[in-house]
Amino acid sequence: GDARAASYRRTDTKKGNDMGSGIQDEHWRGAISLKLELHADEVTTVPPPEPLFILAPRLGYLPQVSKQALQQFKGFLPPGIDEPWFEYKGVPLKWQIPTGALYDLLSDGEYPWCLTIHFRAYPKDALQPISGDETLQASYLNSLKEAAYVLTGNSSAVMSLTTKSQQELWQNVLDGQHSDFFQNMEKMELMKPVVRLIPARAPLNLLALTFYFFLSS
Amino acid sequence: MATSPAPPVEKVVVLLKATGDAPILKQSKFKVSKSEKFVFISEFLRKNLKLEQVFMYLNSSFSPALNERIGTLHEAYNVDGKLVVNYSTTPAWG
Repeated sequence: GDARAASYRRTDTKKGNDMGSGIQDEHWRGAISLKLELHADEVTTVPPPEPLFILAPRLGYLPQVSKQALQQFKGFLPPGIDEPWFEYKGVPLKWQIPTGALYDLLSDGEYPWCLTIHFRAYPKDALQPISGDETLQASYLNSLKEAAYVLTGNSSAVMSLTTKSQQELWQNVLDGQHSDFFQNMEKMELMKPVVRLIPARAPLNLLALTFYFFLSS
Repeated sequence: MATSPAPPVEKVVVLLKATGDAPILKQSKFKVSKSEKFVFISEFLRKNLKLEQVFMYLNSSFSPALNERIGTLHEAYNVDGKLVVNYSTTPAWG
């Protein structure tokens, strides 16, 4: 917990180059230990299900663990369509924000982080709908375009990627493969930001993404 | 869009630009309250243009989250004091 906290709070990028890939590696390998419990309203059996302990990559998104969670809790759910969503202390969690950012903002260091998972009654007013992996990937690419816009003044770096490259990049994120990810990023020439374009105040999900870009470079 | 009789509300200028086949508005420049969320623009467009679905982009580059404050988006992305929103009936920039 503390080592991870120290690594991502590093803001001195000059030192970062000397420390080399060690901290980058740790940051990327960094995962949040989650304890997922099925919401009481959705438990239809006695005894109730055991919680699921699972590692979620910091630089990934909560929906990545939905499939495994569904496997764990499937047998306990009431009839209906499975629409997974996560909640912490009554607050539905926005799935577009990287898991690490959510953890840092909300958890107060709680470890493992105890989240409640739901599969029914998706809160459409609070959360944007998500229908599978494609939504997540599309959302990620859109955030990437926004970050590209802030870093270089336009989003052509992302727009000019072939579908195959986009797929590769996304798979790098899913797998937590940072060396491949950065090779692909360099191809996009996003590693040379035009710093003066960074807005003083930026929308939250953009902050989350560029925060991780800068820390990792 | 800008009908607020209450105490002075801070507003910013939003410029709506049609792209592709999208219908063009009679009036394209508006003042919108900073505290409105971006979804406000999509509802406005769908109501006034009688569209089922509309895609929106900022500066022809990306789509912001619907629950972002207009004020924040304007501050971050305005060009010459205007928040330029491109709208279309089909995805234009991915």
